[in-house]
Amino acid sequence: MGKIKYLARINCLQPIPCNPCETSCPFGAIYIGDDITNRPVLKSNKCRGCGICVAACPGIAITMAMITGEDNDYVAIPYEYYPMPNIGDVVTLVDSNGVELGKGTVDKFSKPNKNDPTTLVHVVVDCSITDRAVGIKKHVINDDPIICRCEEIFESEIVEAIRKGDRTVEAIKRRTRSGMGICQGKTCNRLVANIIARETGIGANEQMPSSKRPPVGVISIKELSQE
Amino acid sequence: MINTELLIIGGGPAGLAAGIEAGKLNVKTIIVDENSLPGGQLFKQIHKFFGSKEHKAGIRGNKIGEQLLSEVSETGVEVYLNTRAWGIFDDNIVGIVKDGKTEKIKAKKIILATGASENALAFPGSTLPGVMTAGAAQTFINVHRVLPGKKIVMIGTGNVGLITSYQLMQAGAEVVAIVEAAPSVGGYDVHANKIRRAGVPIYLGHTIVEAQGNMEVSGAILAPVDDKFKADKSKSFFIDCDTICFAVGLTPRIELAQMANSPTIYISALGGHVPLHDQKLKIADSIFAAGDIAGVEEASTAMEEGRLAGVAAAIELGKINQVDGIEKVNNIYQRLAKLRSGQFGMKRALAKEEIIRKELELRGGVE
Amino acid sequence: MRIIKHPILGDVKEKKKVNINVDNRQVEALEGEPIAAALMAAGIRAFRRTIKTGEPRGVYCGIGQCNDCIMEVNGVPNVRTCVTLVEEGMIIRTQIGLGKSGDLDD
Repeated sequence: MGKIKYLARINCLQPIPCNPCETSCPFGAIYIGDDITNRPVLKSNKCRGCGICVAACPGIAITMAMITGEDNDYVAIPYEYYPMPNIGDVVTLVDSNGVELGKGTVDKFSKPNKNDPTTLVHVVVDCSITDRAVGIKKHVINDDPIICRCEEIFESEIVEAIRKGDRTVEAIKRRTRSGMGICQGKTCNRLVANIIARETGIGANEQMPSSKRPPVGVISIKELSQE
Repeated sequence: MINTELLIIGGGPAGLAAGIEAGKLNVKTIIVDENSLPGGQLFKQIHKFFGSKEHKAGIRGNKIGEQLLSEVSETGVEVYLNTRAWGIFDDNIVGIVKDGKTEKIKAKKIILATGASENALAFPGSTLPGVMTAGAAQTFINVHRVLPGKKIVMIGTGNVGLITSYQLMQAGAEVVAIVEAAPSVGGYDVHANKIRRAGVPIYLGHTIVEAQGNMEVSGAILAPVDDKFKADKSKSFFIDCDTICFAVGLTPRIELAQMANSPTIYISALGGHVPLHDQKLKIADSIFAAGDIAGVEEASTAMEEGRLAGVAAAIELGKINQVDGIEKVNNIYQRLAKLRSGQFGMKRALAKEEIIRKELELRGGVE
Repeated sequence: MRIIKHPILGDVKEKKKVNINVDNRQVEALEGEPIAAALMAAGIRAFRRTIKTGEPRGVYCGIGQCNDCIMEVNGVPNVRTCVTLVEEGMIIRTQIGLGKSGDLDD
């Protein structure tokens, strides 16, 4: 056994007429031959884990893996979407069909070929999934935004309050605290009214504004007590 | 307890104009404003105003602000800065916090000129640093002279969104996209065309579905909307940016009017719930409202409304005889009518009529 | 980034420099500007972490209304940095949750 390093892993499954992996490899580690529909064969002893073939493959069908012999291995996966994950982010690894395998942590990024924009995301994974982990699940938009910035009340909480029967900004304020924070509803009252309108059909014009009491704005108890 | 004839809450265009009129008529007047500088949002408006000469048209907002301040100081009106009016109580007593202490002001007449606050949007990432109101961006570039970011996505094509985009470019930022859910631009074409000539793409029929970034904004995801303004996320796309600004309307700041038990009415053309008022902007016994609190319009209308409230308060205080007072009021009506005319102003003119009609109904139709 | 040259407002006039300390880092500010402007000029945009989700926040309304830009200033938490002017030697800290009062040395 040589020292621990990345090795290319080829997931090319069909006899496609294509050979950039073979021609791009500076070390002659991939063999296809004259018939370019042959499926590529990796010569592990010649592969140096440089990743050039990963960037060269038109099918995004090559990844790299580094088997450490410990609990955690590394995989390097080409990722061509925005947003890129951040270093330290936990991402979901998938197999070649997109089936979720488990989580991994982003370790670093690399660009194997400086003339090619394809970026490799290096992910620390549990050794039990190394063999099959050839993709990172694409970032999916989280659909639950914060409505009340001060009290950190999410849209799902507002919708839940409406399901429980609340029909006014005031009632939702009392149930969820949306609008009870330091800005006193200046930002969220309108948003809550819009959600009520969307969920119930009661238009903003049919709703009452939430009740207002002193003090308007932030005043410290000290200021209030010193007359 | 501080006693005064007139207390004006808010030192923006409406409040200052009210103070100037009242001061000229020898009304003992105090203006309170929570900021360290009066002028409200005029000082960030470095563009020339529309209107005609009598509305100070063609003059930049910040210059109008300077003019108002010098007029106020000539009239001898007292201005309390860094002073927050935090509540309004029986017998026209207003609680303020000034120099770290609570005080009470008892005024014979009160004018509320508290303005409006900017509307928000909520979507994943909308609380990230780098997402801010258009007004915040405008304050930083034009007052503090600091860029909030280099690549801006502006949400909203009303005049605020268009003007702020133009001013961000004047300040050296790049506006990479302006996004509008409606099928057409909301503001004046002249403002939109300035932006188009600068090569900024305006995405009509689009919305923002996500702000991306870890510790601060590093991009935006936009998507087209259907005819119910629902985003089609399957057609979403990424735009590289570091700042996202909201220019999606303003809501009148009516808290103090509510505390004064003024009934309110929701009028979309004026930004939402506004206090009912009579022809002289009176919303309750001895209390008037002027400017954006009485319906979001422009600074030019706010100044006229301020003058109207200032004169109306002076008439009630007996500082000007009825004949002269009514002449002054009529002149202001004429100037206001001009600002509320045409395709853009008519909606607001009708909305104002509705407010006055509803208020009259509520009082039992007695003039 | 500061806007030195401006086609309408003209060039920035020389202003007195004020030193402030932000999370143990020396930041140069200009006399008369709010803390938030100095931080933004220095490229700092995340001013605090919220109490429930721990997410970062910064300037939102810029005019003292929303209270999103609050930080600990000279040991006092919940100070609105967009409307609080810089002072020489001011000690400013990222506010975590509700923040801490006093004890500048710990």
